[in-house]
Amino acid sequence: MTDRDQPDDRAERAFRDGLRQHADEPDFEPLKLDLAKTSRRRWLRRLPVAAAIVLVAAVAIPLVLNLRTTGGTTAAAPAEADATADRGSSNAPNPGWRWESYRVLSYQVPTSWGYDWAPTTDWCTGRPVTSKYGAFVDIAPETRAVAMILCPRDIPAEQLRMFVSVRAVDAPDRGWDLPSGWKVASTDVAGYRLEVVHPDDEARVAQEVVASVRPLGDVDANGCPAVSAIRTTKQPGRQPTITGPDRVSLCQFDLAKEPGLLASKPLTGSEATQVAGALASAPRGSGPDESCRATGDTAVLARLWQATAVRDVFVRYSGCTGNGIFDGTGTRELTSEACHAVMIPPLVFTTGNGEAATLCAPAPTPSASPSGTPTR
Amino acid sequence: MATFEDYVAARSVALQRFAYLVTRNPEDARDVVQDALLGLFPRWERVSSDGDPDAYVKRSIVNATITRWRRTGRESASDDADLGAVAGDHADGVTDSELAWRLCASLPTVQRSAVVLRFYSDLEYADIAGILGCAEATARSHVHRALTRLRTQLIEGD
Repeated sequence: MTDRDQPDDRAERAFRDGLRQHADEPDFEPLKLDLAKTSRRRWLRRLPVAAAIVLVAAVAIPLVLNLRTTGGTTAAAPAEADATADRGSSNAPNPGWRWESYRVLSYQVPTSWGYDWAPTTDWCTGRPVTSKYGAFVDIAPETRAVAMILCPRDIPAEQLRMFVSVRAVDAPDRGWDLPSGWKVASTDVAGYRLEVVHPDDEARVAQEVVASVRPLGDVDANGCPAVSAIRTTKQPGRQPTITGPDRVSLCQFDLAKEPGLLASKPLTGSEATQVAGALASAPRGSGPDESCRATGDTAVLARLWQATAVRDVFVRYSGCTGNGIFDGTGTRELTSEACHAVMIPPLVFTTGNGEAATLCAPAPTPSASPSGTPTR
Repeated sequence: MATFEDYVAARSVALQRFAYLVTRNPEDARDVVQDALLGLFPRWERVSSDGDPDAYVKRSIVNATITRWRRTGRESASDDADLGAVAGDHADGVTDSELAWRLCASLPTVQRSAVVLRFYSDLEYADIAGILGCAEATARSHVHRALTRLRTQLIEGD
């Protein structure tokens, strides 16, 4: 037997040959993407998705052409904006409920639910495991710091509150066992698992949360895109002028991994005005930066809406360098006011460096902030 | 930079072949590729400037297939599915490559995607992990477990 006949090589060769032989079996033709006449069967089967795609395409085509002729740099942001601008009634949450999003999926929770840290392997350390909100949405489930302490698996029932959390399907075990009288309702979407940890008598609400789950799509119900240029470009692209936003979408992204939308929050009225004001009042400049080179692992996209027009602003705060506020036309220095204005739960500051971290670290016990202590 | 239309003309057949290996169904393959390209269209300038639109489309294909399979309950969830049937067929004179093809059908979608990305697309594990949205070690594990299963069947069939 030669080396090539070793079982490993033989198995690899079998996979290569088998896949190559069968790949050509169907007689595939080059696709002709007539965006207006795509397969009726497919449109009928997936009407809500199709409607959104057609809208994106219909708006994006003239935008692409326009930007090409005028030297614009990107068509992604306007397409994202307009896809959201005319979002349908399916984006309206059930009465008394709100939308939350995480990476690949969106789901609804009752508006009475707060935000907090779900217990992890370090649940027995000094950090409180209860939430003053009762039921809550677990924030930063993958990016927060966990103490290197292995607590007992038997978490007391009286220290648990009902919560919903989304993590990768292959994420490590939480490190504790459900006490008697508690259950988990869950569903999987594209490699991520939504779990509602609940006492037995809250099973109906838990099932309603699970039933509300849907794929995130291109833009979530809160106006945040699934994919943003914030990962790849320092500045947003061409921007319309916004004189006074009527609403704001706050979108926090994981800069290291796609799909990267970690949290989204819609604001209206005075809350939206406050965010726009805080960003606009930051002084021209950039930073504060440090001498190290890390560029950060999370950032916030603030989308300022006026009717159907949107202006994207990047807020970078987690790196040694590259911190600041970027609105497509200039750069502003990161301020505490601006950072705190956009860091509204479920958006949360978890990591940072030096002065930028000092500016963005949570103020002592803000009313809507989680109870945990972020690390830098 | 190539236009979106050029990219579709040049790559849509290859992408359908890839999708067929993942979905095991020609019609589903056309659908998921069409959906992936429609999703790519508004992001074309950014994705193409990053240099690897194929990776973006393949990731869309895999994610759509996983979602579709879970929705329809057609996911093959067990590592042991169809093992007996595969072994029996091989003992009856089926070639190695045909045995591998049949084994692929019994793999969960994510694992099958990892195998296709490794042995059809010839990608490194880091790139496979990027497309599957998992750790490199996880991608490597998916492939190695599939190889172990096939190796076992090959030995049993000799």
